[in-house]
Amino acid sequence: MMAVYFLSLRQLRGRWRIIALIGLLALPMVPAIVAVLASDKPTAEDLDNALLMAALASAILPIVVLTLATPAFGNELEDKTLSNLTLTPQPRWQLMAAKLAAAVTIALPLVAASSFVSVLVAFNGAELDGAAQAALAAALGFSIGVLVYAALFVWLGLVSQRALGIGLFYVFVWEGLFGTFVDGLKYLSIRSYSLSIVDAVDSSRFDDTSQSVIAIEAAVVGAIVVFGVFTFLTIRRLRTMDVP
Amino acid sequence: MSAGGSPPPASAVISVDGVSKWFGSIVAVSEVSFDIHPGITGLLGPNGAGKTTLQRMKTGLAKVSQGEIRVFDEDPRDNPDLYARIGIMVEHEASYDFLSGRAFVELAARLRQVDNASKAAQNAIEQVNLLDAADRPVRGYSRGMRQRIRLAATLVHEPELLILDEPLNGADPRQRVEFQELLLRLAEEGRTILISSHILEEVEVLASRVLLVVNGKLAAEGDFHAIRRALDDRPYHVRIACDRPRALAATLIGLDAVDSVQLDGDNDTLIVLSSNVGALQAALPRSAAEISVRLTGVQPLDDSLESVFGYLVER
Repeated sequence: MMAVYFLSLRQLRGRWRIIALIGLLALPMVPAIVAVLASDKPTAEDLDNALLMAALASAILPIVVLTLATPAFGNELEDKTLSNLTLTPQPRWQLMAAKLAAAVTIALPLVAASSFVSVLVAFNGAELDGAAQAALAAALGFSIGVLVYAALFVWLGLVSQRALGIGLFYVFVWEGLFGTFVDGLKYLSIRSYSLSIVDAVDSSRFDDTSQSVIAIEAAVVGAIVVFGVFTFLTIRRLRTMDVP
Repeated sequence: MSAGGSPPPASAVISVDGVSKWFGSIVAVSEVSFDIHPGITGLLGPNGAGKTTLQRMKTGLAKVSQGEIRVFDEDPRDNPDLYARIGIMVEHEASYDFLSGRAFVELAARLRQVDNASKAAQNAIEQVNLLDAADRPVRGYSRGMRQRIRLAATLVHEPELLILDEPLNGADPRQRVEFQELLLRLAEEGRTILISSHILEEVEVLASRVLLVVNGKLAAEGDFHAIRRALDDRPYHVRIACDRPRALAATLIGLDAVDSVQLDGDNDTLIVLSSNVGALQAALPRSAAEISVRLTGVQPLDDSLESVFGYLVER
């Protein structure tokens, strides 16, 4: 398993991919710097809406994970190298675990650091109380989001050659529109699970926002179910697919 | 009979029983049955005959649509443990280009849970004679070197069964000889080797037993030399262009090497059917010179592989 894990880390840490991701991860610093420099300081509600809900939860988190998780198996299929892994005695669950772990190893620290630093700078810049608590909540909530999104996108990369396009459509249409504005569908939204965990760690978040978050119990169960279902589907696919 | 000289055991290493594979309405393999025993067996057929599909089903990479395949008396599909006993070299030449040759073979050893991966990789690379280039990235390798490093990765866990799909693609003549010597040595050690190819001469040196696949069906099976003898008896069509085809036809029809002559008046050519092309080759210039006919072109018409395999199937 470790051999596949280290191989996958090398595959995923391509120079251009990492440069693009660092650029993307720096974007949340824009509202943070605005908060520092503005004479008319943003409120907690402004930062919850613009930084936590819009920039981090709706865009940065899913896109960063999408960029790292779909190629985990997707590149192997495109390069026709997957048979190098499947024609070995490695159990299929270990292949899945190694690929998932590699994607998470790169994505999680990047997303957690970007969330923590941007929220800390923004709340301090806006001269609001509880900046450290908000930053910690964001880092933790979005780290859980990394795990769940990674399970989904690793599977997507294995089942479709157009995983990136389908993933972007899913992020913007399902998560960005339906999962945000249709109350019932929030229970089927990874974005909602992440925001609920942020709210559970820092209860003063999202008090005045127009969008409500789902209960933490529902978010935890939802996150575990989605993670479990997609890891199972990935293992099943590896066992039953015709490998090119 | 196997190349290793040992008698076939009662139980086949690979057993293919009534296997078919179709993709939608296209039938790639149809009702194929055969057994593979220790030694070297060649799987022959023209491009598109279904060899790779058969190889992929035997390795568990592709699902059979109908029938059954057993490898070491087990189903190869969704059976990872079986790969500890099998070395498989697939047709496409994909490898991890950013790794060095040595790292690629070591990775293969680790994935197959070989105890001392570094030592096993060193041995395997030595077997394919690629030690000099082992520490260079695979992306800089020639096609022949890629094939050799892939073969080293296939051998690294010393498998009992080798399934090799077109392994000599891209190899130069010297590499071919080395590769053939290596496979013969492995067969003598008692391993079972199944090698697919669309080049008759490639398999002739290695395999005493061949399976001939044409259009997804098993067209012939058995001793290679019997097939080779059938090829030697095969009549060939030769197109001859000259300035006076009628005069040349009248002369050629009297030669022992010529079975029939057909005039093609529109193009000033004649088509000769010969069972002894060597004799025809020797006699043609002399016969033309004797009657002052000027030859402008000689073209064999039956040299394509499809034609060769088609002839064998008809017999």
